[in-house]
This record gives sequence, structure tokens and C-alpha cells, in this order.
Amino acid sequence: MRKIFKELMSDGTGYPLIGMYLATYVLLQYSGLFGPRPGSVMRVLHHAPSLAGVAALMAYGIAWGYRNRSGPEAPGRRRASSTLARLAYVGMMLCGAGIMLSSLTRFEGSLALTEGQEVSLAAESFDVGTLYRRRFSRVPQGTLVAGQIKQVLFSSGKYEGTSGAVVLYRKAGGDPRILRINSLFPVVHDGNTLAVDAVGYAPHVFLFDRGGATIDNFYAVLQLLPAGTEDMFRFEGSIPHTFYMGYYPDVSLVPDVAQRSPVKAGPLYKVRIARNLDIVANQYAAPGETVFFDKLIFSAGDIRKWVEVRIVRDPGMYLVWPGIALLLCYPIAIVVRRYTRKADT
Amino acid sequence: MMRSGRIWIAGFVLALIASFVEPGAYDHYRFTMDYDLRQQEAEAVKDTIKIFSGTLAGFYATGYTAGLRQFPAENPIRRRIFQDIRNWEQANMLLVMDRDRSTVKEVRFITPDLSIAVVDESWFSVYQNLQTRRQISEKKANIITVRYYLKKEWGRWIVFEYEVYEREDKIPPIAPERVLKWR
Repeated sequence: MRKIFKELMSDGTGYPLIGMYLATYVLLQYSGLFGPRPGSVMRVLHHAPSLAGVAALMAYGIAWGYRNRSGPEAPGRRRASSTLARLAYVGMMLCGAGIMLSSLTRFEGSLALTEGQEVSLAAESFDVGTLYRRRFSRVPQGTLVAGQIKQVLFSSGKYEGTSGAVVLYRKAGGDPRILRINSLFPVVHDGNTLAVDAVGYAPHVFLFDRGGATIDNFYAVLQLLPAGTEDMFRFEGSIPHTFYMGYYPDVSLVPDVAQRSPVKAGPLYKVRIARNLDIVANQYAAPGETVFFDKLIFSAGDIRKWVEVRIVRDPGMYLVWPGIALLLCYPIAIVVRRYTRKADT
Repeated sequence: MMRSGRIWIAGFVLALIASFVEPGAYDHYRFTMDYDLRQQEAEAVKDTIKIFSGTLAGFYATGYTAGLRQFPAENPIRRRIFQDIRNWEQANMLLVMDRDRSTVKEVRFITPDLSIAVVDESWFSVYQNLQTRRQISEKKANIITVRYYLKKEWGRWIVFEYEVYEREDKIPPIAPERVLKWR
């Protein structure tokens, strides 16, 4: 064991060994062989085997740095006492420290807001299935208001663009700030990164009795994009029925793609109502039109857009990102140097 | 060169060993690699759906909760069924459902304990007077395709959600991440 350690320390082969271990471990987790595919790389790096690898990398780095304190060597026998090698070394240590910090403090969660809706941020306001909290994580504080929401652009059902939203973020006791967030690049504010996870339609749904009295009504947050996509909801507690809805806005979001229903022009809902296994209604209905079923009346009125905002609070990322930037300097500089040398000769 | 090759292989082997450390990782690996085990579980899922449909029809026909403990469904589904039965009882009616045909089209596993099954089902339903059991409606055919979502709890598959489509409807694809969130 001691011999192996000595050998690893003598020529720097500990770096590729641990690097290969970490890279393979992350890839194996994404292979789907050992569990469902994880959401983000950071979550895989929080697994115990990853953290053990990161800890080993940092310990090895510290020992290596101490041994080569006169100037670090590049992997292999070649001496690279350049500043770049030192920067790469610092970058690696920053990444390691960042991952460790992240494994203790990361908070991730998503919440859906319809246009104009205001939500106070608390652990309960996030969708349960999206919450990811490490031991010392802090829930973001403040309120969030959804402003204008931009739809995802689809052409023939294919994703073609980004979705975005304007949100008003007011941190506890602070001034409100307008943020333009999108699905591609997260926006950083008050220590949190905000991004758009999804956008969609929320129709205002009503349930009436045959006398016309309202039994229940709310905005149902549904995934109805692209046009015709179905989602379901229930008037929980009131009736045993399940409502399946699709929506055709009949608005051309991209040239030549009018999101029109196959039956008639204009905005239209597709409604299917099932009472347990029995389908009791299946038809198209214009906004405000009534659908009769089982001595009850259903109607979908105006429609609002909704946005699912993903909020991440992870102090570890403030170390990881600069670390990655420094690490990248090394291979870039080597490539640049090689090409400039070739050009000289 | 030989030495550096050995280093890469050592890193790979260590990662492979470490991958089995996570809870449930070995079971998931075994399930993914073992075709017979998957087939065995697929049969168990099919049996569960058969029990689900049979017991459901029994509940409607009798209005009794006999067999409720064996009914492989989560509480919200049970509640919706009995809410429906009570509604008909209050109207002095009984809904009798007969399953005519049932063909399992697909059984898919998201994890070893989470499954999706698509089933073509044909039912006939008729309303009867609760007291006299006299038929008070025409026999109605209900030709549907049901997408069942099942999870394994305490070694037993149970239905935790289902979607009902007309037979000619196109069944939309479902993202595994979404099902994992529902669970």
C-alpha cells in the first residue's frame, strides 16, 4: 500500500487515477444501470462515492503541492513550473472545496406561478417532487411575482427556442427587482440562481351543478404545450371525475405553424372527462362553452400562462465556477502554445 | 504507456465498484441486466391489473367494501371509487360494470419498483335499480385504453394513478422524471 502511495506521489499519476474514477462514476450514474438518471451533475457529485473521490483528490493535491512547493509539476515527468500549472492546481482545489461546500448547503426547488401571481418563498411553496435540500441548506427568502411570460416556440412539435419570463423578486425587507429569466442561462440574484424550467397554460376551470351554482373553480396549471398536448386535473374532494384537457390557441407563434384544432378555427379546448374508468364526455369546447356530464356542468374560461421557476441556492458554486475557469486555462494554453510554435517553425 | 494504461483501468474498476455502494444500486443493476427477472415482474404487474379490474367491478356490483384490503390501489383511487358508488346509491341506482376484454399492450419499468402499463380494455356497463335490481338503462360499451402507473410497496404492486383514453386516442408520451415526481 505504502509502495503504491509512494509511486503515485513520485510521478503524479494520482491525478489521472482519481480523475478517471470520478469521471467514470458520474458517467455510470447517467447510464441508468444503477438507478434512474439523476437530474444534475452536482447531485451525482453529492453521492458518497463521489465525495470520497473529491476528498481523495484534495488530499492528494495538498500532499502533491507540499512535496512540490518549489513549483508544481505537470502529470508525467515533464516539469511545468509555469504560472498556468499553478493556476490549474488552484482551480482543481477550488472545485474540490466547492463540491464539498455544495454537498452541505445546496438548495434546489421549482415553483409554478401564473401571470400576476405572487408567492412568498418558503419550503412549502415549492413543488414537493422538485425539492432537493442538503443538511445545512437555507430556503431562499422573499417574494416572487410572475410578470409577462414568453411561450416556448414549437414547430411541428419540435423545440425551437427558449422560454422566458419577467419576474419581480423582492427579498425580505429589500427593494423589488425585475429579473428577466429564461430556460438557457440562469440569472443570479441575492445569492440565488433563477431559471425557467417550463412554461404552459393554466385555464380557469369551473364546476357547476345543473342549477348553475358554482361548486369549485381555480386556475389549473397544466402542461398543454405544444398545442393539443393533454394533461389532467381533478376537482379533488368534490367529485370522483378526472378531467383531461388539451388546448389549441390558434395563434401562429412561428411562421406557418398555426396552432389550430383539427375541427374549427379559433381558440379551442379538447375536454375528456372520465368517472373512474368510464368516459362520460369527450368533445371540443370553446372558452366559456359548457360541457354537460353526470348531472354536472364543466367549463373552461380564460387562460393564463404559467412559468415554473427553478431556484438554486448553492454557495459552493461560487468556488466551483472560478475553479472550472482556471482548470480550463491549462489545456487551452497548451493548445494555443502548440499552434503558435507550429506557426513559428 | 503500460503503467498509464493500468492507472486508467484502476480508476474505471474503482468507479464500477463504488457504483454498487449507493442504496438500491445493486438491485437496479440486477433488474436492468436480468431479462427473466423483468419478465417475472411484468407478469406480476399484469396480475395486479387483472385483480384491480376484477375487484373494481365487484365493488360496483355489490357496493360492499369486501376485498378492499386486497385491492391493489392507493387510497385516493379507493376514495374516488367509493365516492362514485355512494353517489349512485344516493340516487337509488347501481352501476354494474362487466369487463369483456383486456389486453396488456405494454409494460415498462422506470425503476425496479415503478412501472407503467398500457392496457386495452372493453367494458359493458348498465344501470340497475338499487332495490329491485331491474335494468334501467341500455347496456353501454366502454372501449378504452388505460395507462396504469404502479409502484411496488412491501413487495406488492399497487396502482397509484391511471389515465383513461378512448381507444382511437393517441396516447401522449410520458417523461420518466414526471412519473418519479408523482410517486
